[in-house]
Amino acid sequence: MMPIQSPNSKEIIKLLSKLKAETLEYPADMLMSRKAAFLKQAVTLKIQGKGQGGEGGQQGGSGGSGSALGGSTAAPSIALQALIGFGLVALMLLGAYLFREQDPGLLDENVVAVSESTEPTSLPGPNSITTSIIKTRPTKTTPTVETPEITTTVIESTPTAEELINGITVGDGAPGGPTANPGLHLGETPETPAAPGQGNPGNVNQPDKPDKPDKPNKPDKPGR
Amino acid sequence: MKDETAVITAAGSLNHDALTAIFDEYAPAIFKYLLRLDVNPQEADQTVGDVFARLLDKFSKGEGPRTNLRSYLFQTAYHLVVDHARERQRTAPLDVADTIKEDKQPVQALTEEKMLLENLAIAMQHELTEDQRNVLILRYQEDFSLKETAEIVGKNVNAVKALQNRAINNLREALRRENGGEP
Repeated sequence: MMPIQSPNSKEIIKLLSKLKAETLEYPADMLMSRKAAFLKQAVTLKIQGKGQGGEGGQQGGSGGSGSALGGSTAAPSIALQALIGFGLVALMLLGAYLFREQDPGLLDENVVAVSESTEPTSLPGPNSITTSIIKTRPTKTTPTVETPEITTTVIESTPTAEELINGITVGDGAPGGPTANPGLHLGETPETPAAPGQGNPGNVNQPDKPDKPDKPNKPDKPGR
Repeated sequence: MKDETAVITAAGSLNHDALTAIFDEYAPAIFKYLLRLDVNPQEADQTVGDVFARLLDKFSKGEGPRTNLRSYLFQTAYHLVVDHARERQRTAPLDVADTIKEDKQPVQALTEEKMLLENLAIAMQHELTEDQRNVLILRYQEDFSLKETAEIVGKNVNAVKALQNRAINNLREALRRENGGEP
């Protein structure tokens, strides 16, 4: 095989130009589909451009960009709608304020009806006053507020000491139970006899101290 | 293309006939250019689509080229190829020879010139930098001027001249080595 002569620069340039012919052609099916896609995209863009331009022409008169003009006309319409909305709300509030006396529940929906009632307890006592507060859900109708009823039972005859002792010691063995209620007034404690060997031994031999007499009220100082 | 300025102006308003003329004129040339840059035919077809889609996008915004549409389209194609190559982080140089080898006969059956072309293609693949190869393709296979080539690759004219001279010298040296060191 004969050795190939090394080309000079001009020959290399010629060879480079000849390499052009070696390149593959664009396949016809690829070219046609690409062209169809290109022209379809062009039509789409043209339609979009016309749509924007048409809006701009109608809204803003002649010339200019359609999208920019469309944006400027849309803003006042939104503001107008918001203004109308606020006006309607203000009218409704005004009406509610004017007619508030006819329907007090209209403005103040958080009305809490408080009713106090007296309920009997299972523990009868000399003065049993029971008060219960029932909070009811607010309703649109006029709430009925019940006045509290206070039931007072006054035991006319005071129990004797024997009755008191029996009430505590003789019972069903459950001090404080329903049968052990001595019927004392509020704040009083029953006196129980100290059993021998029980209780505080230090207090057994000590006599009770006499009650101190009440101090007389001092007269008011003048000048105050 | 006859009266390129008028065609560009018409295409700027998305005129169907003008756009068709532009596509018919330049799509096959860009496809071939992409194959020379070692882009496979499927990717080259997609890139052609991207090039013309960008052109449409520019025209719809009232932008785009006013003159020298061919240079503009090749520049877009070149940038897309470079971007794509960066995305793939391809380390291998552009494989020019493979596209030529596809329809090749066995080496023994080639004539002397064919062997020279084969060696030249291999040397372009292995002996040149990417910039040198691009400049040679644009200058001697796509017939762009120095100025147009400089615009496409984004360099000044002197840099393109230097790249071109170095590339030719490298090819000459490679072919000399291939032929047994004969000057």
